[in-house]
Amino acid sequence: MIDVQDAEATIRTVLRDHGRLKQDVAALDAGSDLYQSGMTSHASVNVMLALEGAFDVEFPDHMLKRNVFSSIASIQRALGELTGA
Amino acid sequence: MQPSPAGAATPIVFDAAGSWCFGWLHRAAGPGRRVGVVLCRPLGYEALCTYQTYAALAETLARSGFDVLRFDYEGTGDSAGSDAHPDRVAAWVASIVAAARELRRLAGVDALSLFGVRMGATLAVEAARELGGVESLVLWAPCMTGRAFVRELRAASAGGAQPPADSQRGDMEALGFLYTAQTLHDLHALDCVRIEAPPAPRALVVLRDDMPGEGPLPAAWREKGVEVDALGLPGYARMMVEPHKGVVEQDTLDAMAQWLLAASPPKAQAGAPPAPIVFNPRTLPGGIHEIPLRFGPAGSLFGVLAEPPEEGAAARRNTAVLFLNVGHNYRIGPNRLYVHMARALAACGFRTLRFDLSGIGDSPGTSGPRQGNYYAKGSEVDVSAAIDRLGAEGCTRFWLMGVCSGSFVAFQAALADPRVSGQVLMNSRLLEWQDGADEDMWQASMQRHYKSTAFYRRELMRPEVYRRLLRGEVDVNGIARRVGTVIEARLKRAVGRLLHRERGEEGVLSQARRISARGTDTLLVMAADDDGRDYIEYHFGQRGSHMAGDPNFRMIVVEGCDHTFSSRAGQHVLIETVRRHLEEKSVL
Repeated sequence: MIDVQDAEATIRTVLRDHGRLKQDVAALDAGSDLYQSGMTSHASVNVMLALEGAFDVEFPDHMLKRNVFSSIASIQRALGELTGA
Repeated sequence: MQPSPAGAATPIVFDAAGSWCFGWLHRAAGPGRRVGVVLCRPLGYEALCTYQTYAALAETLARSGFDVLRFDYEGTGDSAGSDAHPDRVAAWVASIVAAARELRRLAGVDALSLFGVRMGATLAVEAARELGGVESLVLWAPCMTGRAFVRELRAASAGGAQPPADSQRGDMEALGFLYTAQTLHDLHALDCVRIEAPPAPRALVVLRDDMPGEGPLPAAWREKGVEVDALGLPGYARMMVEPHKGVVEQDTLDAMAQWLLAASPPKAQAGAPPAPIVFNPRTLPGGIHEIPLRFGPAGSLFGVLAEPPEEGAAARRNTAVLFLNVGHNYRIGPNRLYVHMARALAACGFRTLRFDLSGIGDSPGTSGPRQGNYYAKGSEVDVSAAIDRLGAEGCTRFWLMGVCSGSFVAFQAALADPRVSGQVLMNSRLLEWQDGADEDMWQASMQRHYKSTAFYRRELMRPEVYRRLLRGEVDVNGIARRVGTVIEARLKRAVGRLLHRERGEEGVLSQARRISARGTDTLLVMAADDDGRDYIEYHFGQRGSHMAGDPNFRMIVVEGCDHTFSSRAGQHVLIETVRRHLEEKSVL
């Protein structure tokens, strides 16, 4: 079971290391659009891989969508679905 | 073709996969080793990111005594073919097999090692199975399976703003490249972890430096008796960051060379000196031939000239179209756009040259790899050298083309060289640059990418946008800063005009008028949503209205295209737009 606070912190760490955002991840609102914040399609792949490593999950094909990786909140929702949290 | 500078690579062409591949042979320094190394490139976007690293590795290995061949798979880079063709995966593997045979033939090596990054590594394993007898494999961040790579493509494709055009057929466009349904299906069959027999007795696996763990490959291969070294070396993340920002990690390349040297004795006996390589151009559809050209000071500039069939109209054959690098992307252009354009225009009878400016791709220039600013002046000299060379081929009219920073080079070169007959400026973001003027509002603002204000005005008509605004999902501050730049620039100009009591004329506009008065044609192609449109329309007016009535100026706004024309549909729109314009102008 993923603790909500821990999950968000881990997602932010992944975004900091792999998202290549134009702004400080710590200052991002959970709903902010990550693509508008500078995350490229190429960077989003690394974000996906790093999230899978960090949470020991694999995003199924139907989750490989823009709206799943578009914000911290949407990533958290998707991870919640995958882990049953 | 002029002789290569001492120690430089030699361009080659060889038959492969029912067609042909373009490549570079790097001859070993000194007596050489008995092992030759074939460098297998990754696919699509990652091939662009890694171009300079591959060139640097080839040079490193050649210095260490290895004969090296680096090349483009059939359907990629400067080779013939397209990613829309059938049987891509088989063609890629067949290309490696053909490259291995070509290296044996040209260099007289009696053993082979294969190197690859990502899918280049995965395909190298597949080719090693086919070839048999491969001595060693160097695999940098290999994709364990084709399926894993397809998942990444799917995620990247989802990140794009537009759905792929042929998604119903099962095709996918990801990061500027097309993967047909058949290609995706065939990729799924690739697996370099589960092997029945060792593809080579020795392997070096270099791990990614941005993800933890070594993956299942080393352990699985050791179980099969392969001697595997798995090393954590730096360089992967910085190499892959973006095609125009990639960094070559020389220490890592040296470490790979050392690993190969450890088990590679020198050639048993020195053979006959290698015969000079003759480049026999193969034919492309439509009777086009592509020829490598070296030119400029000491042959330090390199490009590929696409020659139309001899029987074409003289007016077109005498017209050369020059493609100018986008940032530090090498000559094939972002998404291989310049290859598609160059061949499409050559098929219409024009000569086209896609070449590398000094310090980019395969043009070492006189001062080594280019760093930093794409807008630095000085590239005009390279363009003039290319014009000199094409003039020697009989060309009398010269058109320059560039996307983004390539259009800056085109504009500056057109100003500097009166031989320029026309220019096609595509998605320009800046057309002038002043070193040290970091506070210049356009120079500062255009370093960040947004959308055009026309896009944001249109978005404000959509209710969904207000919901996203309320949820804090829109980068309001960034957009506001960009809109502020546009307003501030316009206000400053208006105040300046009032104070001077006359209509002021900014540099770019007056320069464009000067070019036009000289008889040089300008076609501006701007994607409707590209933020460069704000900069261009600030200078030239809405849809070029400040130049209205000028027969040598046209601005066209195209829909459905992104900044680098990454989608197949966007490229088609662009190529047709440019082709029609050139054909119209070549009749005059």
